[in-house]
Amino acid sequence: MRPLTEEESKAVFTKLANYIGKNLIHLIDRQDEPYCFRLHKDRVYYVSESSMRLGISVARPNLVSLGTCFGKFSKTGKFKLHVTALDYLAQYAKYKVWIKPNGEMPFLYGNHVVKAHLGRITEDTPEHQGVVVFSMKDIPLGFGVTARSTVDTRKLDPTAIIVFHQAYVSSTVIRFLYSPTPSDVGEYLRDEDTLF
Amino acid sequence: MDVSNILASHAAKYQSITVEKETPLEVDPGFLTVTDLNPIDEESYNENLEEHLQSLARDGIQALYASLFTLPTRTSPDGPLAQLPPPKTQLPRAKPLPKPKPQTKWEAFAAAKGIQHKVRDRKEWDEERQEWVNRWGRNGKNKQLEEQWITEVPLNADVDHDPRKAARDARKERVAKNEKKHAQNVARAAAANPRDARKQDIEKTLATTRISTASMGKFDKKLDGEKKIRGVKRKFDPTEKSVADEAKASVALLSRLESDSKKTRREPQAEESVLNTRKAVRFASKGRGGLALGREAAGGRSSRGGRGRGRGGKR
Amino acid sequence: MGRRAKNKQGAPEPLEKKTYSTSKKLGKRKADSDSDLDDRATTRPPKKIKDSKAKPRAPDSKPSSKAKGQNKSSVKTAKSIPKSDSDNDFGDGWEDVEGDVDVNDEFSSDEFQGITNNLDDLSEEDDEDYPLRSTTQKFDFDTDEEEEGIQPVLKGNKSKQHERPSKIIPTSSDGSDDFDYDESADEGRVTMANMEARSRALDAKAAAEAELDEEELQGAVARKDEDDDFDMDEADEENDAEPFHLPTAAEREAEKHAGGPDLQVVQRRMRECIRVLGKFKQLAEKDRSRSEYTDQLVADIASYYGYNDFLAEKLSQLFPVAEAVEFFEANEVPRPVTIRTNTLKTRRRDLAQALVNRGVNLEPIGKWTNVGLQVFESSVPIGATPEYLAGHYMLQAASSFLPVIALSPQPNERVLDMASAPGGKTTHIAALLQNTGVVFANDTNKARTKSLTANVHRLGCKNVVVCSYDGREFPKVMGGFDRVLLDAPCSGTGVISKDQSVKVNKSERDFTMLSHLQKQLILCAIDSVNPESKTGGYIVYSTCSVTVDENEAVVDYALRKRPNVKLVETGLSFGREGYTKYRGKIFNPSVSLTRRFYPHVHNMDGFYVAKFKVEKRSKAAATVEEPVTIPEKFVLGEEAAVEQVQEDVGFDSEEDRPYLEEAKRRRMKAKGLRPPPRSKPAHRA
Repeated sequence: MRPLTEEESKAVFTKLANYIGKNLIHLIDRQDEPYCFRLHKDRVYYVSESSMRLGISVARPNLVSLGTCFGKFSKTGKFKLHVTALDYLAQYAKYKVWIKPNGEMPFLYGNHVVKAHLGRITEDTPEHQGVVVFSMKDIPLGFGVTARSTVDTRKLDPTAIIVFHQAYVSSTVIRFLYSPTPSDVGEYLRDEDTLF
Repeated sequence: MDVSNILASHAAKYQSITVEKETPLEVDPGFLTVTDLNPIDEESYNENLEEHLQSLARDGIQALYASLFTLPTRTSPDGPLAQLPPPKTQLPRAKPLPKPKPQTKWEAFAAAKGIQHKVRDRKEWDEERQEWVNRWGRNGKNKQLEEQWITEVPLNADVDHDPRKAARDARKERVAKNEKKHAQNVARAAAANPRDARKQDIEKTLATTRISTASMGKFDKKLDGEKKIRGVKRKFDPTEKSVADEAKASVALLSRLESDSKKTRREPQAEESVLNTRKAVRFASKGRGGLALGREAAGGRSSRGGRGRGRGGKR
Repeated sequence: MGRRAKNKQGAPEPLEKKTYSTSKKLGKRKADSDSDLDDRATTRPPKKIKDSKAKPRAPDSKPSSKAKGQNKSSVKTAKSIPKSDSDNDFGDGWEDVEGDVDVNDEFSSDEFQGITNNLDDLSEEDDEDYPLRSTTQKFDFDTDEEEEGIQPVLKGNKSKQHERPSKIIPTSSDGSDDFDYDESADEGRVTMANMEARSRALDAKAAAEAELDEEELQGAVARKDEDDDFDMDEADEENDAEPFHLPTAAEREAEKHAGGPDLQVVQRRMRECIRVLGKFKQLAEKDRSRSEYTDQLVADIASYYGYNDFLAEKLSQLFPVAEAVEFFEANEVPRPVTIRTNTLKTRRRDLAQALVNRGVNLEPIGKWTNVGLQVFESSVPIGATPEYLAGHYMLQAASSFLPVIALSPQPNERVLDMASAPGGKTTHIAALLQNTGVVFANDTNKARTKSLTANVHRLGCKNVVVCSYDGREFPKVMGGFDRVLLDAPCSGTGVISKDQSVKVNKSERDFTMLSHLQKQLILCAIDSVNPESKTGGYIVYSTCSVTVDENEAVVDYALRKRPNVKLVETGLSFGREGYTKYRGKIFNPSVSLTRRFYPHVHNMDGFYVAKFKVEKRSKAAATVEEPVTIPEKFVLGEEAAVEQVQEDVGFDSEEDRPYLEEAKRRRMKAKGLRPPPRSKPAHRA
């Protein structure tokens, strides 16, 4: 566990800023309790200072995770956001997309959001903008990148893709009491292995 | 019935199985080689080279075959197999001879002074026990002093003088000294190769120069394919550094990021690269100069709308 | 609701219902017994049958029970009362219970009292009808058959078992109370006004009787005597009807060679054995010993349910014979599916609403938890709903709520979960901490920490540090915790219904190894706690096993090894008390503060929960030891000086003193006491 270097911070912040923009400052400079970013085994964790200080006692090989995992650095130094950051992204998201109930399951099974499933969308969302995907009941389901700006979506046909999904909540799921189909579970399992 | 005719014709057809030469052929069945030491018959050589060589080869092969059939055989599913004897011919060694070891300091000294090396036996005669004992190692004679049951203490010895400890320390010191000498010899031998020494020197110099700029190498441009400096440890901030400081640094970084993006938007490219701009402009405008190029671009922009965006994207 | 009750899952309520009902019975019974001992005895048997052993009943039972009921009624109305109680529980009462739970629990307390008093009102017809009904509902058996002979035995056993719960009932205002009411409530309302006072009196009597019952519990034999007089006639009848012959050792051998008896035979023999063991004096064949019957029964259980002999014996020793069979029977039935609301993300009501909209049929588990929901049926996979994926709930067995409830972590505490995968309890703790403080979730198995981490993140727990150590390293890694949860690795004899492989793959060696590990772990857990903690200083030890050597024995060991630790109330309103004596072992009396949960009683996995409080290592304790030890030594030294003449060959105690001193210091350290400063003995020397 160690603090991020400047380049690493830069990579993380630019990625986060894509979704939450200037609200990033609220993550860094919190009013309630000091929080910090820590790198451990290539994963970036967002953790309160008190937890972090206690976590220092745990030896590196034995520490599995602490706080919230935001994502990981690839070997080439690129940063990839994980769905586990969704809580914070949803809280501070600048642009949001709500999908209809019949679109929830397709999205959770890894499909992109098509126009037919689009319930609402923040106005003036530009093209290629990071957005957080919600269900109509305001449950955050995942995040992605818009394929078209809000204005452009009006003209599209119902099967056109609106949001490319990047991560969805089911990628954290490991165990299913009942499995939908074997291939899905396989996907979840694979994802889970790489997440942590 | 007279078969002599037939035999004669047969004999004419097939040559003798015995090879007669002035100097007998040397056959080494171990390597399956035959060496013909006879001088070359120049006449037949000049007359018909092919024939000459063939007859030479035939004689050699014949001799080799004859020797093979004299060898003891072993039966196998593929027929009888001759068992080759070990080869007689000495082959030259494949690898060059090892280089002599670099001399140790003592060897050099001894050679200079003409001191003979005398081999010391591993064993030593023990008068007391009347047997050969190890010179060192298990029950070594060199430990005798510290293991004897009674020791004479000099009159002027300290109160806490421990003869066993003193003897042991002395022995350990000898061992340590020898090890040190050995290490020095090894180092001296390694430095003996001037090429290696030079290489090390260059690497060291290069590493020094790379961190000898105004920013201690931090903001320098990386060359393509430039390797990381080896042996330099990355330094990270301590984990338990004040979180407040960290947050401050992050905020500063954030503001820098923002201002950077604004700056790059205002002035698209600040080129301080290795590109020779003047030359590039001359080439692109086909020698008409920068102004002409600008005019042309302004005229054509409407038709090529994608350009502006492309540049923005790069940013 | 009626439809639901018949549902396979049978509702979580049954478990509580059962306990309560039994306890009520007890209370009533006791009250009755005061007035008339004999009556009580007679009444008990029928009840027992119904509850415990409905399954393997024989066909002739129905008429016989009827007859019995009539007999009793003729003998005394008082007798009928207890029966009616039990009937209520299993009959109509149960259906309504669920309804009550859903709608409102408020009138439960009123009604409860009503119920207890109502017993008297019940008529004899109830006796006849209910037994049958109850059996049908509870088990899927063909209920037409019931043997009278068995009934008394069962009843007796049950009463013993349930004495503990009985205590719980009057005090608890649980939702569980409701189970019994509906029937009794109707009748009770009439007499409601005057009933209350009477019921209180009954409760008091019941409490007094608890001790009596306890004695009964210890020895099944003692009970037998009581039953003798009234059961005689019935027993005779039965014997005439079908003479039961216990196979001799030789016969069993032969049987084994023949490839084992068929299931029918085994089933019948088990039934008979239970019956005979219940009233051994009258029913047993003359020359056969009690142990022969027990052996036969255990062997039959092993073959019938597919256990290995060792485990079958070990488990059946835990219970009186009849209840043991019930326990084994319960292990064949899956426990209800339950989920826990993640209070970090949603509220139970909202979650229930959302799930109902998705076509899930569910209800709150019970009064004892405000986050649990039981799922009856679901048209969608309950583990793949968007709510699940978004971390609004966790699939979790009802039993694994218990240790966390017992731990009751307070905000801003530092909590350690020593064996945490797959994270159900960890996330529950984090939810109770409301994401304040910090939770250390440890698990030895690195592979399992993956799913643990995933669950922690899915449920949005932000204060959790996941690490992977051997639990025994713990005080060294980090100490000073306010609370520690040790859900120890165990044999899993409580969750056989989930993992049938336990039946055959556990041997004696496994049990010794496990309990050794558990003892090490519990000491580590105790040492990891900060005794100075202002809000905490608690340890909860739990296992999903029912055996005594993994539970009470471990707890007792910890109490002996760490003098600054004591057991406290778990804060769980139900569950049976831990054994203080078991097969010749006597544990610390405070072990009765621990709680056991059984599949056949509580309809949740077999479970054990103990809660410790770590106190400051008081100086007083240390000094008390000090004077005792050191003066002794002085005396020893002086004596040695005096007696030197005699024992110049003996030990030189003066010289040995420093070594003895050192050894003593080490021992005290190991016990967690502060040894005296070293300088003191040095001066003396």
